[in-house]
Amino acid sequence: MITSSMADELAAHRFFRLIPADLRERLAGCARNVVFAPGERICVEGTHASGFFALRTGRVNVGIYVPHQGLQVLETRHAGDVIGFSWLFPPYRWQIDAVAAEQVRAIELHADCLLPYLEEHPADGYLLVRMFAQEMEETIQSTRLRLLDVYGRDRDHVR
Amino acid sequence: MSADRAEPLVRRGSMTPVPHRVVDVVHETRETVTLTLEPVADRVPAPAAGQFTMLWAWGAGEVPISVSALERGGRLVHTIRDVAGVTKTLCASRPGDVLGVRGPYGRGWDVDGARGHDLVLVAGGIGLAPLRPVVHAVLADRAAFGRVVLVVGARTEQELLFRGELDGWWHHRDIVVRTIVDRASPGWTGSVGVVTGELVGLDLDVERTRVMVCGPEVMMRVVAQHVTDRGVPASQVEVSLERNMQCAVKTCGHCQVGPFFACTDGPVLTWDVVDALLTVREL
Repeated sequence: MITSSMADELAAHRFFRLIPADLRERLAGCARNVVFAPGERICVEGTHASGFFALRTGRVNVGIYVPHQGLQVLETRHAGDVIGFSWLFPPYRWQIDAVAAEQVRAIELHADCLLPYLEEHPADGYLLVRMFAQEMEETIQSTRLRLLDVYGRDRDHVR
Repeated sequence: MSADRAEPLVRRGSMTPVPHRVVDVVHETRETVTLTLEPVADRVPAPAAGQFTMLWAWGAGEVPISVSALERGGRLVHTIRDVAGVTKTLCASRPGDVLGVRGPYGRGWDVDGARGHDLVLVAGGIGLAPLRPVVHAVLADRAAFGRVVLVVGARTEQELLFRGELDGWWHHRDIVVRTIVDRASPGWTGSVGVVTGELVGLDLDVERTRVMVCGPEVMMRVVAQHVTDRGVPASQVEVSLERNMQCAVKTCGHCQVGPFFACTDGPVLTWDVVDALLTVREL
């Protein structure tokens, strides 16, 4: 019953909307709801990446801690986004820090539960990895756009 | 004095700048200034949201500048970014200085067409200036619009325009304001990233939503593609073209984009019209 309810919550999330219902049911068995208070650390660089988070509400700042300067925020993730790619690959360590910018409600999916299933069911694994690859592409594209410094290039024209 | 000598040396035509006096100067950011102008004698027609005028700094030259607020009594409000040349002279204006004004020109935002619809406004950098009159129009007649979301992007917090007003809009109950910067400075509480990041989690009633986008062309393209990918009809997405208008009357061709002239057919055009043109590199 709990699993069914979680499957519905996954179905309502942008990231999981297009995956087949039976896979959603399976993923729901590896998921739980979590809440983070403002300022709470969700991922800590260098520590074990135990899974990923699908954000339902709230914003999360993703960045890297710099000694004596604190968290240098590189991007903000919003409701509908997912956080965490490091659980997919060795050495399974977070490459980033993530801190709740406000109260965050999320669905946490556990790698210990997911990875063995995906290894045994490569079709499902392929589908999920494709979905993550798309998220990565969007992240890379956002980074490219910021590297362009489009607001700085606005100098060439007048408004 | 004979009647002949009382005639002006140059007869005023549509291309003659009309003298306006600077009555107020607000330094918005380190390189952006808002000027309020009053007619010295004759006035130009009242502009609409999204239109621009040609501002002439005597001895320096003339540039197109969008109207950043609509005022009564012939007053004109322009927000100008110092990008050297004429704009440097304009930004150095002081109260009492006289500038020349031609216009207003162009096709502005379809504010009336947005009534009864949800409205998503996306502004990047100086692009907030042409969209500010739309926000004013919404707030002046809030019940006429559905849900209104304003997303403002900037390079840094320090380069956000109209900070005081933005804070006021932020606290306004009936309009959602989201700010996002490329680079966060200490204490920044908004988001970091590109403007589309603020749109991802936004529920859109695609048939009912009108989108207005103003900013660097790359940014506008990304936003327009994002919302149309999500199902908003391209005809309901307006962008303000970033082109170098010089004559403003469809003569010189500097602002031509395919079959369109940004100065008269635009600067505001719908995405279904310009989508294909903006991916042509030669344009």
